[in-house]
Amino acid sequence: MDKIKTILDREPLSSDYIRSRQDFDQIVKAAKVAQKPIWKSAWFYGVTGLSAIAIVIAISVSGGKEQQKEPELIGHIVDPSEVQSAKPHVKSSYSGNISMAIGNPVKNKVVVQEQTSKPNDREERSIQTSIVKEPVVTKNEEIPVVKTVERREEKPKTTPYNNYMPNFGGVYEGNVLVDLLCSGKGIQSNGKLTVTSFTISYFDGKQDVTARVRGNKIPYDVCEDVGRYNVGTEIFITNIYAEDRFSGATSHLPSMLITPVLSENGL
Amino acid sequence: MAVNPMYHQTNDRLQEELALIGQAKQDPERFGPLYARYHEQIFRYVYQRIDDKELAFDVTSQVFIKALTNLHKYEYRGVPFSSWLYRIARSEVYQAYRDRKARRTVNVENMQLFEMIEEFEEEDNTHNKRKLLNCLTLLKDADLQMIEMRYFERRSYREIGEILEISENNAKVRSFRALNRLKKLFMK
Repeated sequence: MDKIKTILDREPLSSDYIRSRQDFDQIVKAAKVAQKPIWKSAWFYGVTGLSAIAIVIAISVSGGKEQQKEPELIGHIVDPSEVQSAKPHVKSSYSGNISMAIGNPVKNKVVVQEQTSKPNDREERSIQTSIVKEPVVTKNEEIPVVKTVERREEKPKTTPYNNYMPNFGGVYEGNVLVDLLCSGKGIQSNGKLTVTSFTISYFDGKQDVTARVRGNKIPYDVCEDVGRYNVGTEIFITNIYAEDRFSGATSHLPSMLITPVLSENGL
Repeated sequence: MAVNPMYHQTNDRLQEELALIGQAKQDPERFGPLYARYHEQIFRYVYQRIDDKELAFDVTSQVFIKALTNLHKYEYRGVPFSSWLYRIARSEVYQAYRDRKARRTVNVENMQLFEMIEEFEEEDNTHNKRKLLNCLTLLKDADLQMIEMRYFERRSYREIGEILEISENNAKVRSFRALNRLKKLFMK
């Protein structure tokens, strides 16, 4: 603020003069002009803000649903021979049996390299993607027409549920004799599957324990704890994985909820 | 010490004023009587603090325009309507200072200086009057405001409290302290 100015004995203004300067009409007119426009009022911002948020949420929710509804399209499959013959300038990292090109065929070309392992290996597939910028296409060059084939993600072939059901001597839920549980046979599965690993949750006398076991047999110390502290109480066997003896494929088997008992009558 | 007789009103008068405010809230044209009643008071308050007369009239008009546009926000708190107008006026005057339209001004009468020097138990002469005027410019704005309202405009502590939104006692204390600070500056 500037330095304060002091005025000594300024000529006083009379009340009549001040009254003569009153102009109420002008005040009313100016007040009408000075009224806040509707878009400057707080409630307007509130309402528009809330509706904007609601719209954004609605769009994002509906967008999410649409994404969920989309078919699991992996990409457009292009015959590798056609890609190589038609576009020799495209850098290809193809080295497997199948090559898939995804994306805009004019500007960018996404080459999906799929490497399939030998038939004897497990069905483990690694998919690598690399974006290769296509060089500028001259006018004389023709953009090759690529055949597109919609490919859906392969689902593992399933066998009937009962064939997969893990069990102890034919019992897969409810009361199981401790002897059967701890017999050398371990968890069995019908058909061609061999249980390779599982997780067992039990009480070891002090606390609840969850142990991951390789193979299909319950270890000796676990068996002892189960026989000592878990008779008549439920124990969980989850994450049971089995291997196909012939193809080597790994399957996830249903979990088991069993109650160890000492005798057939449940004691 | 004389106080602003227009400020203090009887309860009936306050109720009558409240009725006028209620009508003005419904219809701005009904604000006329309130404008006529308070225009001079508000103008004098503004003119006391601004050196330019025309600007003081402009600022006064602005005060009433603001009052009319914000009348729906006015809440009766048992004090005269003018205290609300004074608060708007104070804000508008400071806005004028900020906009560099007006310069902070203190209008003093010779008689008021004489009274103040007498209170300081000093000799009334031209030198002391000049010195006191100079000391006023050295005061902090809050202190100067208190001195102005209490000693130059002769407002009651109650009125000062209601304008500044502080208690009557607080106004008394602040006014006393401001005067002490002025005295210290004067005695240096």
